Amino acid sequence: MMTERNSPPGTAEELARSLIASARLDAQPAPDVVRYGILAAISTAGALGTTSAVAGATLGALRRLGLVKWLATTAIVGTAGVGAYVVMHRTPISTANAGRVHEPEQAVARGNQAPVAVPPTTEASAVPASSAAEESTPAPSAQRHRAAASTANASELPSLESEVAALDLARTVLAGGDPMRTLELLDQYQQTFPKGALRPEATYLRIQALSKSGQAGSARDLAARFLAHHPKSPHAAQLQALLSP
Amino acid sequence: MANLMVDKRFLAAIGAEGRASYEKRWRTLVSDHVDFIWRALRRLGVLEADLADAAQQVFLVMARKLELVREGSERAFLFQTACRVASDSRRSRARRREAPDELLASRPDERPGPDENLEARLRRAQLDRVLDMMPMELRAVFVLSEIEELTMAQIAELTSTPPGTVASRLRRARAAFSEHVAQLHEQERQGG
Repeated sequence: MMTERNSPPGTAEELARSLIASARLDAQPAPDVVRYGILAAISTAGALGTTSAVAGATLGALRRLGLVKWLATTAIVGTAGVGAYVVMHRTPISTANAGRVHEPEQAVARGNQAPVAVPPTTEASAVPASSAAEESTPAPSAQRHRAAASTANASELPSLESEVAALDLARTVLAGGDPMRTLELLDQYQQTFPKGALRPEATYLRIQALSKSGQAGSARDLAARFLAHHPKSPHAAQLQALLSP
Repeated sequence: MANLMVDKRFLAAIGAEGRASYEKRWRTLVSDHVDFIWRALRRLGVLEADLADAAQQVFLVMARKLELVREGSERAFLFQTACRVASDSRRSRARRREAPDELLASRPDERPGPDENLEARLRRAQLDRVLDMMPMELRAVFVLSEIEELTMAQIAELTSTPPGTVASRLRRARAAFSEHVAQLHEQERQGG
């Protein structure tokens, strides 16, 4: 397509060199959005929820850069502490609720908690396999503001009681025949309770909601991952049924 | 909530001063390695559109494990995590290809960078296609050697692989690269 514009290749060796050279030309630094995003997440995670000067300054930088996606991410991470990377993969996506299989509970991340010697040859399973499949859809502005606002009270940990109430509501709405609204509620649950004790239950509800909203593929995908990490779940039999052809 | 318990115990044990130095270690780590990891992820086959998430993911895996990672081994940990993230990314891209309406979204972003001409862009796309044909273990060694210009000893350390294995992988990677480039060259020569 662009061949007319290219210098004709000389020898194969010259072509090889020009391919390698093209990569060196491409060796750009990580964009600020990535650098600050990671710094912010890590600073907050390192301090485990305390709002350190570093985290504050980084948040400021993110705001100045208008990096909303990262800001939303950071806000949630602020409540999540070191387990944060689990959350990182769900926050920006929360609005893409339906089609994407962003495992809200990310069992994968929790499954690999045994201390591992360095370097991490067994780490593979700790890497959420889904994240690359997740499209990072920028959140609508209302959601951004909510997420950003939640930074302020990041230290207020919601109680188990409100967690139960949130899932009860989702369950009721699902039973009422509104799976899309259920997915929204589950996204909100996720944002509010990033380390919630009831995440497996939330995931189970999500699978049902996906299934009822006609997203059978996503439901099965999530169900398979759920089962892989919670083979003894009380919901296992039902989920197996969903997976069987 | 197992991880939370570990973290709490850990953080209680290290105290306020420990937490401050923990955080300082983080900052150093990010500034020292983020550019390297960014470049590595690109050449290990992560698409432009997925790079930011992949980079986040690499560092957050590190975040969870920091207290277990020896000082001085951080880059190796990050690089090896990057290899796995890149492999996952390629696998999930392959899955996405099965869904036709998502094909467009998964196309490589081949926009030229600043000051980049068309030829450089084409060569880079060709390079990525050639690298895509290599298994990750060969690709990683090849990228570190030929693009990052690291020594065998450095590569052995980064990949936690014995030097002999690095040498043999590099030989195989170079042979594979030459072979693919020769095919490409032949196609271009024939005007393809």
